[in-house]
Amino acid sequence: MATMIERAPRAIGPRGSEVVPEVVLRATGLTKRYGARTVVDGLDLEVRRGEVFGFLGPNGAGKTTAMAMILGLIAPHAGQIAILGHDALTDREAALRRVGAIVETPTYYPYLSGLDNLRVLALARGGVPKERFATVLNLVGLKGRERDRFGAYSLGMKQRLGIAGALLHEPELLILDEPSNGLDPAGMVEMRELILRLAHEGQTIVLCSHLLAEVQQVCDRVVILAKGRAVAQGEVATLLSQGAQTVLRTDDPIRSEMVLRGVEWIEGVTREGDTLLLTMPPDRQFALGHILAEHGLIVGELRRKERDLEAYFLSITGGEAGA
Amino acid sequence: MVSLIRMELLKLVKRPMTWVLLILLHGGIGFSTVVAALGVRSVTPDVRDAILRNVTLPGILPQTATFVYIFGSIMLAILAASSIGSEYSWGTLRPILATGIPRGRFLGAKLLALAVVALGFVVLPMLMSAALAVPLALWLDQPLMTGTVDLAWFGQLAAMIGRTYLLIVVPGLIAFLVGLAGRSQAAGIGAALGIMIGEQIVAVLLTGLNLGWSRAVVDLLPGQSSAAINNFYNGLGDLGAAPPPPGTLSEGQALLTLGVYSLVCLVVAFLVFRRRDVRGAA
Repeated sequence: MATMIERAPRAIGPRGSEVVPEVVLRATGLTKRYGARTVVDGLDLEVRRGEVFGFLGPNGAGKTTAMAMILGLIAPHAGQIAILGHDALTDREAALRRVGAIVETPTYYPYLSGLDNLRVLALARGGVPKERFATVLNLVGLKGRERDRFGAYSLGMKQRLGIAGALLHEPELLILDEPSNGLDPAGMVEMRELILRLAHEGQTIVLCSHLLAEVQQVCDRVVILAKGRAVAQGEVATLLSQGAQTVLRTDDPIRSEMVLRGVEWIEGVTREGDTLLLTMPPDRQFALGHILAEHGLIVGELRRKERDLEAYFLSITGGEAGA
Repeated sequence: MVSLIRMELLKLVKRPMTWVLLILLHGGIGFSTVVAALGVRSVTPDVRDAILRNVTLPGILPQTATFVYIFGSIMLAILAASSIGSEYSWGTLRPILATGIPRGRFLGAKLLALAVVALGFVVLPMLMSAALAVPLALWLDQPLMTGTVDLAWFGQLAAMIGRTYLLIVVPGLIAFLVGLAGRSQAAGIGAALGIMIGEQIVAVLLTGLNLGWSRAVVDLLPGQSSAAINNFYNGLGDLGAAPPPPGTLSEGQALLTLGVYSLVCLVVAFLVFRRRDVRGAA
């Protein structure tokens, strides 16, 4: 598998920046079983260059197992993984050379300083210039604490060092598993800003997080796993618009409900007090206004109400706890 | 590969356990030597001669080799089991292997770095003992060195260091393998110590049976080969090595037995490590 990278026409990304939708990570039919239990079941996913790709799912959905398979830590029973044009199963070294990752809580050598842990990673990678240590330590806000023992770091500092380690060799693909774990609110905001900054600089990021609001703010596309299977995948905006409703308030809600129940293209009408919630195509709002006017009904409020990612997540996963 | 060996050496050199074990080993050798020297004036002349021989050059060197064989092998087993077992318990294999380095290369680098440190467990005590023998000889009114020091003598010294090295490496490899297979440093240390002690019991029981097959099995135990080498074949000149009693393993068979154990441990360790999933920290 010499060249798996696909190039598609350039497109405008969700954050308004121009991106090249080149596939940098593709997994097909990824499957992992432990005994009779299938932890990851035929997972397909594609991550394109320059995007922030969210990886969501309830606890035990198989997210970390899938990531560990991508990173060569766990051998899949079936499926293929291509990273940056290399088959990750047969040519793991080349496939992962330009990948940086933290999987679960960053785990480094507790007796070594933060700087020595970075040295260990640099020696494992090879070819990392010394100047990079200061650069990544500055980037994650650990400058001045790099000589402290890793074992004495707070969880937040460990997360920061994990990010520093993942960025050490200037990777083309960054895989972050719960990077906000253990951070205080200010730290979470900083981490989100860091991810957004990296993304704006063109960094491709796979973000696994249970903080759905964070994912919604940061990610361009997401895949949602449930019981090892991908139950939804696509652009965040598209997925959220699927469950969107139109909110309508008129001077006579009961008569309005009766009128609208007879309209063919309105799929559902629900009345909550004096408000009607309509399931209908978003481009039919003028037609809706026209129908109501024909029946002498006066519109007080007409707006689109999109679901947030949390509501979408709960609906798609059947309300399983955790992400 | 050089970069990976440097990485493993960095981990070992900066690890406090390495230095604690080395200090314990050197402290033990130094303490026992000084205590023996202090008691030299209050013993019978024949015991006095034996002590003087063992606390001055060159006799102190085979004495140190025996100390390293007994205690150094335990300490290296602890270090080897910890070296791989704590990678599992700390979860540090994940960030390292996620860099894409081939597992075989990683394990090879780890073993080579341990091999370098193991050499330190043999050579450094020899140097310390040699250095300690000088003030002791002056204090005890003994010559700094007895016998002739020539090229052949240095050859014998190198062979003694090599044999001692092999003696401590085998328990280290067993501890490493069990630590890897059990994903636990405690398992590795326990197994290595358990094998060392348990083997002695098994050897006594099998020897007691006095059957052809039981004697053959005893001859194939690693501890028997190690003991034969240390007690009868690891001398320096005419020092330290007593003539082996009838029935003692030949040096060739003992070395071959230890070599085979080492090879089996290495092959199994590589096979296990290459195929196994790396999951969360223990």
